Order: sequence, then structure tokens, then C-alpha cells
Amino acid sequence: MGAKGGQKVILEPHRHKGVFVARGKEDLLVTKNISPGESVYGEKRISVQNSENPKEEINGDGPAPATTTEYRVWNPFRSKLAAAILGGVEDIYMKPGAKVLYLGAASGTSVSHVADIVGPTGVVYAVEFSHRSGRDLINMATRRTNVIPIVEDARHPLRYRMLVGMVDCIFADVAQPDQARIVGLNAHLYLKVGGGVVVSIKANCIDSTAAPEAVFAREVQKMREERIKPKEQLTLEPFERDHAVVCGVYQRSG
Amino acid sequence: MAVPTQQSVGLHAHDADTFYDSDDLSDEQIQTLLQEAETRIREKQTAAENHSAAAIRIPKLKAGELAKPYVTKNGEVAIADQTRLLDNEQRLLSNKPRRVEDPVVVQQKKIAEKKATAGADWFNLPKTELTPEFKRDFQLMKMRAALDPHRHYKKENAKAVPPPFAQVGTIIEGSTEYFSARVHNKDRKRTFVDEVLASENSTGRLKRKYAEIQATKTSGKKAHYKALMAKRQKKKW
Repeated sequence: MGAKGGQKVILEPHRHKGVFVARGKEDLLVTKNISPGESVYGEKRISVQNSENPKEEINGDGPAPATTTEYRVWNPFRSKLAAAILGGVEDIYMKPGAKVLYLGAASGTSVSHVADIVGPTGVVYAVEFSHRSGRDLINMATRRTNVIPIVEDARHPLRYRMLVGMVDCIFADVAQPDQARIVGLNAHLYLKVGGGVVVSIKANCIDSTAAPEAVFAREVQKMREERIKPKEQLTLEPFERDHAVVCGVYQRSG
Repeated sequence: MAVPTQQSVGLHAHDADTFYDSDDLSDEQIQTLLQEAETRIREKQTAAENHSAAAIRIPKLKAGELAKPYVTKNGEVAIADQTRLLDNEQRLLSNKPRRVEDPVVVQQKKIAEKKATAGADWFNLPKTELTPEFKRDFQLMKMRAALDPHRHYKKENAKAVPPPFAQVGTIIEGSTEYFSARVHNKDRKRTFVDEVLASENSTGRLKRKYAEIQATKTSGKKAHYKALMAKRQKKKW
């Protein structure tokens, strides 16, 4: 099953900036690999041969030579952001050149794709509390210069104030009961006004006894109190059970 | 001091003071001495007046070295200094061919460049090369629902045009995946259509399906009737 190595696919841009779709016998969500020749967690890659361009000359040294670009397949079962994109989320607030604060980076599998999206001109500040995961995160960041790994508690954002600047977007996948508060604390410190907030909520981790819908509604209310205006909410149904992604915009007042 | 007695006595000039101190000065001599003193004092006074006027005098301003003219005259010939007429930067520029940048052409070029790729937001994905292979691949991609009965796709517009920006890529399997996750090197094909045709050669599914559909479609038609009649005539024999 699935796409096999050696098969041909057609690569085209996705609606979201910095994201691509590879279409063959099945459609794959892909991002452009920022460190070609390597996969981070054993995922499939797609190599594209760019033909020699006789029209384009480089400093009078003849035509531009043939090059290869590489894309990495983004598995929606492993990444909530990929699941949200396939679920049809309106805006992910990440695009090439953006600065993203990623809370709950874990081993950096999703972070590597976010790093691909923002590209060499963007920055991803990846915060992870666990040292065990943090080690993998740092390993991943050695090959991606636009990732700044931070092994710290996201509950104390001032601890990494020397590393993080103003960001355009906060992505949070911390799976803690006080997730909304953590996101709020970080947003007040680092998020620009009008910046995007994307929060993945696992109902079990917030309240395992209440109904998931009630948990999601409560979390959205908490986000409102943190001056984050919720824009949309979607469940990650075929990919994750009782998960929701809430997207919002940070407002200074009102 | 020209005094006749002085020379006669043979006194030296530096002994004059002692000479004046003596009481034997005539009235005429005293008169001349006084006159001399008066003229001396007057001279001194006028000198002091002149000096006070000189103290107010403003000192001369130093203009420094004046710029040399570009053109110097050597006898009857005027010579221009070539190195100073034009500075080095301008001279270098003048030696190169001038590049004329027509704003209209520049704008057109910019637009053309913009249209050539999907832009920075998609990392400059180039424009689709509409080769016959690509067109066929795309056409088959639209009809992929027919390829595998177990796979279900979102309904696709049959009239869909190829995407403006697209490339053809090859999947590279993960290093940790098993052999089943890749196609053998010798079985790899150049295009998507070739892959489908290769699998068709081994399974024959498409051909069988075509025959099945034809059988139902043509039943009751002319060919079907003729075949039926032929069968019946055979029976009569």
C-alpha cells in the first residue's frame, strides 16, 4: 500500500503558502526540504530534477545548470498541523519568511516541516520541556539553521526571552490542562498584534471525564479571555480521535 | 658727531660720554645738541603713533595653495591635464558599453519573471512544462479512479486544466522502510502512464474490464444480432 519509492508524482502548490501537494496514485502533502538529501524521521522524499535552463544565464557563465530540489512527505497521522491542513483549515498563519513559536515541539518531526514552510528566511523557535525529546529536537536543529531549539518549560516564557523575538504565529501542541494559559502567557510576551494562534487540543489531556465538545468550548472561552479571538475550530477526525485545532488571532484590546 | 676738537685731540668714539660730561661746551654746541634731542624725541613720538596704528592692523589671511588650472600654457601651446579633466570612476564607466534601462522593458521583464514561477511563497516552483508526457500523465491522473477499485478519490473535474505551476518528481523511499516500500530499479518507469501500463501488462485488468463493458454495451446491437444469427444457422446445419 501507499506510494512506493521510484514512482512518479506531479508536484503542485497547495492553497497554503509554502506547502505542496504531490499527486500520483494517491495525493501526498509535502514540504520543500530545507536540507536536501536527508529525511528527519524516515519519511519518504520526492526528488525533482530541474531541467537545464538555457534562457537563464548565471553571471555570463553559460546556462543555469540542472539542479535537483527535494520535498518531504508530511504524514497527517503523525502531525496535527498536517491533519489540520488536510482537514481544510482556513489559515495556518505560517508562510515563507514567517517567525513561528512552536510550543510542545517534542522530537521535532512536525517542527522540521514547519521549518520547511518558513524556509531559510523564517525562524522557528521550538520549545520542548522534556530532555529526552529535546535531544532529538536539537539533533534535528543541527541540520536546520532556521530552527532554534529551546529545552525549557513553556509555562515560564521569560526563561527564554533572550532567545525569542517577536513572532508572527504561535503553534501550541502541549497537551496540558492549563494549555490556554500557557498559550496566553507566550502570546502576551512574544506574539505580534494580529498574529496567528494555532492550538491543538486533546480533550483527554484537559479533562478526561467531560465530553470532548464541552472541553473544546471551554478552551475556546479561555482563549478569548487571553485576548485571542477564535476564528475557527475543526476536529482532526479521521487522523486523531477527540482532537481539535483552534485557530485565532491575537488582539491587543477588545 | 662731527666736532673738530674731537679729531684733533684724537679721542675714540666710545669715549664721547666722557667727552660731553666736560664743562667746556660752547653755547652753539649745546644748541645743536638740544636740537638733535628735540628731533629725536619727535621722531620717537611719530614712531609710537605709527606703531599704535600698526597694532590694530589685521593679519593677512592665508589662502593656501590655489587650485592649479586644468589647462597650462607651455610657450605657445596650451596643454590640458587629461587625468584631471575626468575622475577615474567616470573614466571606467565611459570605457564600458552603456546599459540603457527602458522602464517599460524592465517592467515587462519583471512581470515575465513573476509569471515564470509560482513566486517566493512557493519557493519559486517553475511553470509547468507542457510536454506530451506531462499532458498524458495529467490526463491519466484525472481518471485514476478507474485504476484501482479499492481506492476512492474525491470527485475530480473531468475538464480540469493542468496546474499552471507543477513539476514531475520521483518518490524516494525512507532508509528504514522495507523492500515492499519501493519499486525494483529495473521496474522503474519514466512516467506515470508507463507505470500504469506496466501494471496493466501484468494484471490485464483494464483489458478485461473493457471487454466486459463492451459485451454489455453491444448486446442487442447489430454485431450481437449477426453473431446470434450465425449461431442459429450453424444449428440448422
